[in-house]
Amino acid sequence: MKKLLFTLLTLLLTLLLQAQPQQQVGVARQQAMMEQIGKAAAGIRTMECDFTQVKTMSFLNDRLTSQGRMLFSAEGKLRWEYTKPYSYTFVLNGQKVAMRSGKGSQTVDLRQSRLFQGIAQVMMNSVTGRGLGALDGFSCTMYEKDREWIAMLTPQKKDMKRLFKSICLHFSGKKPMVTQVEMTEPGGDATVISLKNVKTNCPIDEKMFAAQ
Amino acid sequence: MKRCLLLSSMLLAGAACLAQDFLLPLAQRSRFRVDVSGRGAQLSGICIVKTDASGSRGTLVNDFGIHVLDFTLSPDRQRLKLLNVMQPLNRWYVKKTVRKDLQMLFAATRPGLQGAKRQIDRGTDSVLTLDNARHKLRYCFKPVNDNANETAQ
Repeated sequence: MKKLLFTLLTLLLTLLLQAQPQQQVGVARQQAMMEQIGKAAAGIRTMECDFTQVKTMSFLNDRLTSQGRMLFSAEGKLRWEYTKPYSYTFVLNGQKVAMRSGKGSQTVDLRQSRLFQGIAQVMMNSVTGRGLGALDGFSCTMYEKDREWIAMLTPQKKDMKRLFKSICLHFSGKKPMVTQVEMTEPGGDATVISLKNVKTNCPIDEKMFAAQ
Repeated sequence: MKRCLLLSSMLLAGAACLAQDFLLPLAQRSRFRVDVSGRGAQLSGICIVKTDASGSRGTLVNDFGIHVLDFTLSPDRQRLKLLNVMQPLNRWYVKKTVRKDLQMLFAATRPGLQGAKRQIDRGTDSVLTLDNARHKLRYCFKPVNDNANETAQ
């Protein structure tokens, strides 16, 4: 009986330890983590990867999965291309954003909309994790869970607060690169974007970032 | 009595025919590609509608996956209610227009339907279009087949 109790307790303890939630790190550790992420991000000139986006809709208790490909250049260029279930491309090039769907295309000048500017900045920085501590309008708190690092960005400005409750960037602790972006909206809906087959510093054709 | 039965059957058959005639087909789970344009602005995304005996519930999300609005639709599709509208659109005059436009779209039973300010047409690829002449808005709803990659919870 004692042996059985001991086994059960050990099992319970192991399970509890495994289920430990993410833990907020201290100020010094946060600084060190952000420095490491910044260093890794600074070394990225270009990046390309596949992504899977899962949107959870609380009102319908349903999920919507999309897939696509992402191309990034440190010169302020980003191509976000959905391929499934339908094709839609978003190209960010400097101050211009081009959106293309099967029906047509639209170009927006970022200088015309502060909100668009904010979203574009978040998208660019979320891909690599660059400038986490200095992201305009967001506060950043670092967490650690097993070998994973999590940067929780909380919007401070009214415009962004209306769109996002928080944005969590998940980094692989081994090589501090973004593996997952988790956006939670004020209403409880969440969008999780997982990056796969990441390749860095490969040559990318400039035409891919054409925003006309 | 016979006459009454005949009349009831005819009424029921008529109602069933009408129910099948809606231009936007709603299955247990339906998905539409949505484009809304007008006044220099454009919104595109996906609308998912779930239907059961109590009516339909729908959500519209934009192409980045950001939630735009939720809605409920009565079983006879004559009443639509907007819920949880995203902040930039959460103004009574915007909601009033969008509610009436969506209500007309979901209740439409024939192409070429024309109201005082709104007109509905069906184009190629089963794209259903509503033009709101007063507010210069255009809504395009295109049914999309459910993809194997998508899972319902």
